[in-house]
Amino acid sequence: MTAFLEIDAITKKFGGFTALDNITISVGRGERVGLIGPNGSGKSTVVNCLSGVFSPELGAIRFRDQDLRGLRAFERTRLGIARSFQLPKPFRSLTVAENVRVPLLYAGRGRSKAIDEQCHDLLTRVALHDKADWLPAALTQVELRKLELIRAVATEPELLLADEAMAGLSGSEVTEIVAFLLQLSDDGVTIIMIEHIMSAVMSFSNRLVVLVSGKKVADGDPQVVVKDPIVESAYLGQ
Amino acid sequence: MRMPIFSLLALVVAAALFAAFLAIGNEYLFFAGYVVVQYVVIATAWNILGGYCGYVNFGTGAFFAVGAYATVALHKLQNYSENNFPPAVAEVIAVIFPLPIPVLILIGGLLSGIIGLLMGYLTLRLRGVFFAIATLALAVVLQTLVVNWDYVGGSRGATILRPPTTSLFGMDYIHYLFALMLLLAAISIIIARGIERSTFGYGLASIRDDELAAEAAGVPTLRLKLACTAISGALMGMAGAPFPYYVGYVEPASTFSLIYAVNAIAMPMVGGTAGWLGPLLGSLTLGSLQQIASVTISSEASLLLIGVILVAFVVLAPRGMLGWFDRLRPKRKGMVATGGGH
Ligand SMILES: Nc1ncnc2c1ncn2[C@@H]1O[C@H](COP(=O)(O)OP(=O)(O)OP(=O)(O)O)[C@@H](O)[C@H]1O
Ligand SMILES: [Mg+2]
Repeated sequence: MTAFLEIDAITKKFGGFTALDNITISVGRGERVGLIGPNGSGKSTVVNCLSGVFSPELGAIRFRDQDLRGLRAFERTRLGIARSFQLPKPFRSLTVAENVRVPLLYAGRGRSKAIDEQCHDLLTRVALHDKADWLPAALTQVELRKLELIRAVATEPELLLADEAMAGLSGSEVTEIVAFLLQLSDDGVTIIMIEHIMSAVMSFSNRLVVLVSGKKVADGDPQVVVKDPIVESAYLGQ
Repeated sequence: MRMPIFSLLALVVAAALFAAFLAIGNEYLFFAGYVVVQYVVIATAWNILGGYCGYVNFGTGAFFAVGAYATVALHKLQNYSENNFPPAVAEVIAVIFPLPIPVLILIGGLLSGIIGLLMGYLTLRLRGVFFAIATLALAVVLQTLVVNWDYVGGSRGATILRPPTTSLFGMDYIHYLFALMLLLAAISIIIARGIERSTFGYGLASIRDDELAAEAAGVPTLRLKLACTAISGALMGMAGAPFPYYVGYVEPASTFSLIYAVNAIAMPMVGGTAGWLGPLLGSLTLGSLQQIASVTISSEASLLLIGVILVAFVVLAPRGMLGWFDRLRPKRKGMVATGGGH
């Protein structure tokens, strides 16, 4: 039995530019991984390779022992890999409730309850149920982030890739989102959190991976990793 | 409203309209009405891809022409087989042909649906303007093929003689064609409305809004887009299939005319692209206006008219005629879109 998720020596290039250079990360079920690194270090590219937006030139990605090569993005979602987008991408012509309805219709597995009820339950979890009939244009920044997350959660993922779910939020809002992610983790979802806000990363993660210029420079216990001189000089000390 | 009730209502309205036309008894009304109702089908079909899924198709004329030319080709087959096929085959064809128009509509729909699928495979990776240009290119390619296809008359065109009456209760032929087109319009609207409320419809809406996010939500975007181009193309082809019997003379330039593409885009835009009602309103108003203008002024004037109206709507009322009523609706989306405060 291999790990839950194995990113095995992947390399991703854009033209002559190497965005990810021989990256290997293996994640166990239930882990809470913080993925950090300076701007442009390749964090979102990792998410895009995992979710099927990009395919790496070299290396392999295995999820629950299945090679993901050749699987399209929607198929990976249905396998249980969900992602949120760094810049929220709501369905702008659909209401908040309908935004959640789409993944429930296409990737949801819980057929026990009526779909309207599932929508309501999900929106309640992020306190958006009062705005179920609103269009995304009327939502605040933090509400858009929550919609982005809950839409990913609606696919009933086993692995959630949260790409800067807290960028631009205030302190209390950050705390709220971290609490939500911790609850998800308690419910058994494995989470990779990409974040620049160090307090959020440190309070959430039980493991920290650091990327710098497309290379993995550290991987391990968060308290140890942040004190690593390479990490400090390359990233935190900048 | 539930789908079965809506469908029944659509068919009843179509039947009532036909009865009203019969009661008025003006033959010209049937001729003009046919064109307007044909545009209801075309606009509704265009909107399934353009409005629901967000892909602007400039090739409406090509899909329409595939339906029309399928009919021409099959119409000619009877004579052709007598001279060119073995007698046994020719006999069989003589028994089956001429094919009833509903059958021709189905064949035209099938062919243009397949063309839609092929176009989808070739072009759906393109977005926005590039997709629109690709559809226009497809229309040019198909037109060139037909122009060089002697069997259907090439650039000279083909004359189709229709009998004065049908075998169906000795019904007047133009009445029959009008009734068929009405039925097709009702069916198109039922299909469009059915899609709106379905899982498929939500999938299309998510594609229109953001394809990456749609895939991330588990929506098989390519598959849905292909289904969408096939359905939209099929309905356009169905609208074109009876056309040779309506005009009696078919030639490539007018059958592939850009006027179909322009109307197919203008009508939903003027009515509103969000649902089935917009294309219906747009095609009824623009279609009637064009019929009136081409009789009272000239057909060039009617073209100019659409152009001016389209520009006016794009600038002044981007959400179409239905957008006017948003303001009147008491709550929800309209208000939400402008800030959402209570
Ligand atoms: N589609 C693309 N085409 C070309 N270059 C790309 C593409 N996507 C990302 N890149 C480049 O790859 C590098 C890594 O980008 P990526 O978005 O993964 O960084 P990131 O770590 O997520 O940064 P940030 O913290 O700013 O979000 C950057 O230099 C970026 O310009
Ligand atoms: Mg990023």
